[in-house]
Amino acid sequence: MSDLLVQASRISVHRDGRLTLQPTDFAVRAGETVGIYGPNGAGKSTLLQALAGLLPLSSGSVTIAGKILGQDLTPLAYHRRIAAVFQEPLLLRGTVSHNVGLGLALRGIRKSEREERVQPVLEQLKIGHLSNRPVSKLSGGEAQRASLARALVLDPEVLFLDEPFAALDQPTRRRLVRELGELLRARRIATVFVTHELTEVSTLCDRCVILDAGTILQEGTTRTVLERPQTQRVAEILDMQE
Amino acid sequence: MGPEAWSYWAEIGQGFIGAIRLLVTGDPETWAIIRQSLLISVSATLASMALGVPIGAWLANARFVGRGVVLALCNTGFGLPPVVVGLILSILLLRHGPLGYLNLRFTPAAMMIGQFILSLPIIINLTVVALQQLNPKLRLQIRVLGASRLQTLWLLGREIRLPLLVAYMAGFGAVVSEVGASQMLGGNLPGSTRVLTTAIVMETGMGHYDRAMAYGIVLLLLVALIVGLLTWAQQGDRQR
Repeated sequence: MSDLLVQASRISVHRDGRLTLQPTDFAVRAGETVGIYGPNGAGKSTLLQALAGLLPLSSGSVTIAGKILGQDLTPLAYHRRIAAVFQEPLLLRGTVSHNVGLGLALRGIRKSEREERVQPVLEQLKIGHLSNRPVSKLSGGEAQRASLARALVLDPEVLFLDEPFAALDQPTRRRLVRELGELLRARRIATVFVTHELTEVSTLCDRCVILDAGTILQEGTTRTVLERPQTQRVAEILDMQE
Repeated sequence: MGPEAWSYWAEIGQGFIGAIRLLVTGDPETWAIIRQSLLISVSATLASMALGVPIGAWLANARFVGRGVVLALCNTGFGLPPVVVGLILSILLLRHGPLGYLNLRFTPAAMMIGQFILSLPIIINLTVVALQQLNPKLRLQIRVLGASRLQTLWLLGREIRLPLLVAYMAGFGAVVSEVGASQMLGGNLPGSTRVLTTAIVMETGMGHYDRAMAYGIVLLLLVALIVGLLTWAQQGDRQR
């Protein structure tokens, strides 16, 4: 299909001598948000990191816009087309604006242009007033907003989110999920979203996959998967949240 | 207190006053020794940083058979006896030894090599420890931000700049105050390989307590400077 942006074919991953991701196919189309849902230890983060080119693959390949990672495209070139946000904000020393502009600086973009691009994203994420604050003085929610801004300012072709709200309190989490949903819809960024919160899947994702023990058990539109689990195990996994 | 004790304390007191006079009046011999000590130890430790930090960064992340042995060797390096390093290097640098053709024996370069070997394991080890204390996902985050290998190393180094400063100070502190390797490799030649520690040993042996104390005061001031710089850096870092 021509609108496939990122495609993984039969990718598998070994970690510490154990097969943590069985040979798996996965695809993300332009503009859609795909959720990866499953219990703890299902291999969700492993799948995301493999798709993001952060783990060595035991088999298979990842392509972006038809170019194969490692063959047609170096990992560095691939990483400069994507962005990722993890569970922890993983901010570096310095101010919020320094962190948010870091990816741009690594791409050799001049300071004046960085400043022009950083401030609007900070405003979108409602942390414009924190631009000069050292990251050590941010709350958890503010830090995660800064981390999201750092990813969004890059205008990535694909955004990988690995449980970005897991460490936040419920009110902050709900607010951020709602705001992120609006941003992703407005900017039409293809997104892969790992979570173990069903409400986040239903709020943010067009499609979702259910992962268990390193294997995709079911995939489809979010509504279909949530309403019509194909196996007893998928139903059990979905019920774990109820 | 008996007359002998008085005479003892008077001599020490005179020595101390003489030491201050040597430092304050800018005695050329004293300042030449201080300059030489700093030159040799600062450059040896800088060379150790240049090699030790990349090795430490690699060791912190690499997974290979024998990694534990390499780390254990670096740990052992913390307690490397300077006289043993001096002995081994002296043997290697003997005129008919494997490195004799370099003609380095009793030169500042030989002392730098000895001090480089002494400080290298300290710097490797402290770099490994500092990097291992960072969140392992930070490296992934930096990579996915689009950092090249060199940029990644720079950003990680920036994150551990205070531990790296500690590593430098620890390496410098260890080598500027050692005497065994410097004595054996340098030979304490005036104007060339005479440094603070070897000069203290020599002047004490000759009964020149004023000079020995002047050098001792400088060594103590250097240690105080190291501790002061570290404290300043730590406090500044906490406020950032």
